[in-house]
Amino acid sequence: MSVGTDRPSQSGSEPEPESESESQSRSSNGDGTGLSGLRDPRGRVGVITKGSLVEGLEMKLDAQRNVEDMKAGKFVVIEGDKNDFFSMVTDMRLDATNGEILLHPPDRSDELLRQILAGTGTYNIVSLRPMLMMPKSGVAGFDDGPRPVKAIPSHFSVVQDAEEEDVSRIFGSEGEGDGRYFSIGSPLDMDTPVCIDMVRFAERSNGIFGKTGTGKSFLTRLALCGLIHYDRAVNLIFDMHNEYGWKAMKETSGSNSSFVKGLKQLFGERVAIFSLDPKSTRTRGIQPDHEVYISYDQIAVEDIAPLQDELKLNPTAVESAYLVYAIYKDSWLRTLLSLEGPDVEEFANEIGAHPGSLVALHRKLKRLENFPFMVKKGQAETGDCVDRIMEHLDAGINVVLEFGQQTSMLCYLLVANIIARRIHEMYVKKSEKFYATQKPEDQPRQLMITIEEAHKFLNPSAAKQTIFGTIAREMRKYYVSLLVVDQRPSGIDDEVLSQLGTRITALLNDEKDIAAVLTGVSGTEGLRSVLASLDSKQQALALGHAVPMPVVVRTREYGEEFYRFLGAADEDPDVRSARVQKERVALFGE
Amino acid sequence: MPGSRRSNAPTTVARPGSSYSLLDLTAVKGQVDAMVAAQVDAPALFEERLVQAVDLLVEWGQPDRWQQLQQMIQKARVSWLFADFCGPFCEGIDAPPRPQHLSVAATDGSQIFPDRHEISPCYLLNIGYVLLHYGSGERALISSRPQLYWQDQDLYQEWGGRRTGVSRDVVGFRRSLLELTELAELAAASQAEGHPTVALTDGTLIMWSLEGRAPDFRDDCLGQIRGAFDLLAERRIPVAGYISRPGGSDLVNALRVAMCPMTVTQCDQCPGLQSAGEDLPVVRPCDPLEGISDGVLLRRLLQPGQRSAVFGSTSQILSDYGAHHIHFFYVHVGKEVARVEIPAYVAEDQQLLDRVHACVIDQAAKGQGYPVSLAEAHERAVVRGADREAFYRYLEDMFVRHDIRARVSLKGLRKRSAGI
Amino acid sequence: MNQPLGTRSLDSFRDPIRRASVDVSIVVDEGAGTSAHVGEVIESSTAQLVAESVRLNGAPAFGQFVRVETEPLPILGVVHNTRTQSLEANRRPSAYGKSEEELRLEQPQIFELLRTHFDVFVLGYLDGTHPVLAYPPQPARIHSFVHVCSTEQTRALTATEQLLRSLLEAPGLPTDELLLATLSHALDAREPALRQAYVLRTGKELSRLLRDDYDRLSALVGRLKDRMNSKDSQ
Repeated sequence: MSVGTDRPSQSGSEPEPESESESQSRSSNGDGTGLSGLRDPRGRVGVITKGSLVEGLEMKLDAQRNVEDMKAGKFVVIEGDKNDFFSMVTDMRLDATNGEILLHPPDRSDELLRQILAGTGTYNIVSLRPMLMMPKSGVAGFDDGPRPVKAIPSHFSVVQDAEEEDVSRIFGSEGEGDGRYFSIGSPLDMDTPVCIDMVRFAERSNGIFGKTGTGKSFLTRLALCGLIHYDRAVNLIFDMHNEYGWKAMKETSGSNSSFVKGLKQLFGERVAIFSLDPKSTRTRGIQPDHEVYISYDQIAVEDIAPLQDELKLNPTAVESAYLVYAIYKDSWLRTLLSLEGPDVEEFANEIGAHPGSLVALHRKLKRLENFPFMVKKGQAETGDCVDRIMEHLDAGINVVLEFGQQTSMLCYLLVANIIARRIHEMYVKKSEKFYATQKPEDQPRQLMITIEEAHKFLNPSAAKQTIFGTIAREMRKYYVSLLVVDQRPSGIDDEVLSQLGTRITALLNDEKDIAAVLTGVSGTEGLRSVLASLDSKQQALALGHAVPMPVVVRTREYGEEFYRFLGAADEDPDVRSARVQKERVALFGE
Repeated sequence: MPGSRRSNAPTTVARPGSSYSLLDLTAVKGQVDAMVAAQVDAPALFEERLVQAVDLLVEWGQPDRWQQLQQMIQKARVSWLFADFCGPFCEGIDAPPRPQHLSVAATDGSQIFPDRHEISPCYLLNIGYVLLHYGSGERALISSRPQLYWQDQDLYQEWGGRRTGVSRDVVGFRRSLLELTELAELAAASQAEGHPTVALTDGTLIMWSLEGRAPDFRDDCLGQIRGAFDLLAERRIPVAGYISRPGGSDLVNALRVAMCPMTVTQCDQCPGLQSAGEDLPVVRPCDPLEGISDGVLLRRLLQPGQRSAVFGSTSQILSDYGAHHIHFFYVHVGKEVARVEIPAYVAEDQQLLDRVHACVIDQAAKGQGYPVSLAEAHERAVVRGADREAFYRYLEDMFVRHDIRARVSLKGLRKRSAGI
Repeated sequence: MNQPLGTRSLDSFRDPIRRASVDVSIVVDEGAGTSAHVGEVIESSTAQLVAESVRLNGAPAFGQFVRVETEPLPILGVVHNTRTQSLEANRRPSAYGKSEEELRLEQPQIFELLRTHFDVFVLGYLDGTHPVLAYPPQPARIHSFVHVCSTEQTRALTATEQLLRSLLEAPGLPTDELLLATLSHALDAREPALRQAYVLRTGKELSRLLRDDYDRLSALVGRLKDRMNSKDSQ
């Protein structure tokens, strides 16, 4: 009797070498149902030994698999009897059956004993968190696709590496669904693309988080490219650090830092660059499409209120401002700033405001005069910049507002608030009109506003006052949503956080930040360790509305191949000019 | 023991406080003391006499003296057994080298005597066979064969017109006979396969106790004896009887004659008798030789390995042995002096004699003082108590199975399970 | 005794049981054929049997697997104790100071008085060509012949974990020594290329069975490794 494949397999025992036929039986049906067919037995990872729905499952790692291959965030599939459970690795643990082994561990050179003990005396337990379950083919509900986990697999269910079909089945693939799925990277140790549902991404406000230097800008750029490429939303980007418009520096190790293409380079006429500091913009090699000037009359008291922290204003200062406004209306600021010295006090008494606070207010607001983009009314050659922006947005052109060298927080807060408030107002009007007429041509375009350093705008106190807090709370009622980029999510108001539909997070260390990112999303137990174990570069965790289950990705390479994918590679100039011509005609008529 | 010094009168009174014993050792103590004292002195005296005896032997064993002694013996009128001299006997003879290839055949026997208290009056003889090959590495033959005697002619004998159950003696005879005849067959078979063979048996070849037996029986036995010797002589296979710790004094008796002052030795006319009166012990001229056996004597003469001269036996029964008159010699095997008996055809054949001599020495050396072949034959033949019990159990079983009526006597039953 | 004198053959004197005059040598039979047996059963019970080896000092090796041809099915076992002693309890061998060759020439009887016996622990029985590691319904019959198992049979016996379990659970066996010896035989029955895998698999089975006695496991594994290395270097 030969010892061969007819020996019944025991858990943890080393399988005999397979015959040819076994390895070829790995089915890969083109229609994506290969999942529930026979899986490649070489992808076997282990068996389920313990666990619960609430706490997650534990798996005993097969002896021949190296525990070092099990990374936090790795994607695996548990094959139950009726369902497949798509799960994420959240923790790994070493253990031994007998304390003696640990007291007298085998020598490093004693290979035989180590191998013998592997899986019998010493073993590895991997904690898994099932994220989605899907009925196997032949079971009712197969065609409904993946759904939330309500059941758990039985003891000794086999756990397998996830396969390409699994990933594309769950996350969709580019090319499917009518331009709906955009790849942001691939899962750990796999090459298949993981896609975000762009429709769902655009439906809600979203957040992009990560410690400083972890590549938030790249992630943001990716997301924006996706939105623009698939035309799911029109974007207004407050580009505080001049990263998104034109070229940006790529942080590479070593001396040769190269540049990556900005949105304008990639999308050409579909992106317009508005600049608060045209000189700076020109210095960096591009002519801005518009120069932005803000007149004093454009600034309302509501625009000053969010600056309280920044300007260190007294609460009463805002009230004083309102008193000025009450009398002078739109020109309140102009009027106030035209006063000098002791006049202010006098003025305060006139209007019945507290002199001290008005003086303080006056002094602080004087700083505004230093901004080169602040102009008196009527001096803006190009007209009201907000109207211009609105025109572009209506036409479907994305707007990047560069701040150039005006990188002070005051400037950023002020300008962002002003513009966003006005845009929002216009959008409200448009939406209400659409609700009335129900005509498709009246439907406003979905707008996504990108703001960085979001905790400045959306901290618990500011959230109640700034327009951004309002936008976040309103969700999609008025077709405006936010793309929040921040490295301190714990600074953001909880309510706002809970409104963020999709979060894409790079490495975070702070417990509070991690907790903040996971607020308001269900099924995130066990992701804390995953978040804390991400690589500091090129890895992110995506979870929320636009992904069926949380997934760790190696972010997509932002380079030539990506450019080619977007159709923005350095192409034949004739083709390009033809295309440009076509776009121009579409936008502006003949 | 206060107040109990009565050296000659044993008492059997139980003393108060001591456990009652059946033999009163304290009373015998005085007698033991006397005995021990005597024994302490004995060796020195004995030694003197022994030296004397050896001198006598050497003196009379000279080539020019022995015939004289022979004649004196022939004339003597006494009832003891004398050695018959064949030549000078004053020196020991060295052992020749043993032939490199030699086979030794030996038999021994044992028996289950007929027991009228047992289930059946049958008896069993068990013969052990040993055939050892030296110098060839061939496997030894060690086996045994039982023979059951149950037929009427075996179980009963006619004696004076009466039929009686066969006695233990007769069973003993049959056994000795069977040992000899089987030995002859074994040796003959060995020789036939090309092995130069010597046959050994334990004990005397002289069946002197056949004298006075029923004539039929006696003749039958003697016939078989002669037949066996005929066979061996014909095949030129030497046979020898080995007697360990021989008690015989054939030779010493002959020396008594040498010591006797009478011209014709006649013991009932012994001078010592005449000088003795009442209350005086008889002192015979040949008393110095008292208590000295041939073995003890020759121990002094022979070196280890040496044998004495060959002597003839004068046992009466030998007249019926035909040509196979039994001779003997003594041999120093190292641990003791043993007596080896050989038939005439061996005694007269120097080659065979030498072969026997060498073989006996070798065998005794291998057997740590006793011939190994005989020891093994004995071990193989012996029927132990357990075997005996098993035999009768088996008989019972067979009888029961075949529904044979059998009776075991009460004594037999009691022997099997002695209760309190 | 009715034959004419001097005509009986030497054979008629021989003990019929031990009539074989030629020493029977041990042959490992490669088939289940009728090659020479190495022993004969003299005591038998369900779990153990005692056999007398055909040739003095000719018992199968310690740890060797053996097959007893008996009814209804051949019984399989492993040799765990061999002893050579005199036939009779009251007679004991003594030292002669001679080599065996010399003894055969000059003291041939001693070889007839010694016997070699070996104890076999019963592992199971042979159903066709397939070994079943469970006690046989009936013990081996007395006087059945014992053969050394073929390479094929050895491989089959040592293929399952049940063998280790049987050896570990049996009382009164020199277990660790026996484990080592049986595994050594198991390795011999396999191609050199497959030995490493076999050692690993067996080691893991042992690790499970000896989970409470790591010390014992590591000692055994160490000895097994030494045994394998010495085999490789041969």
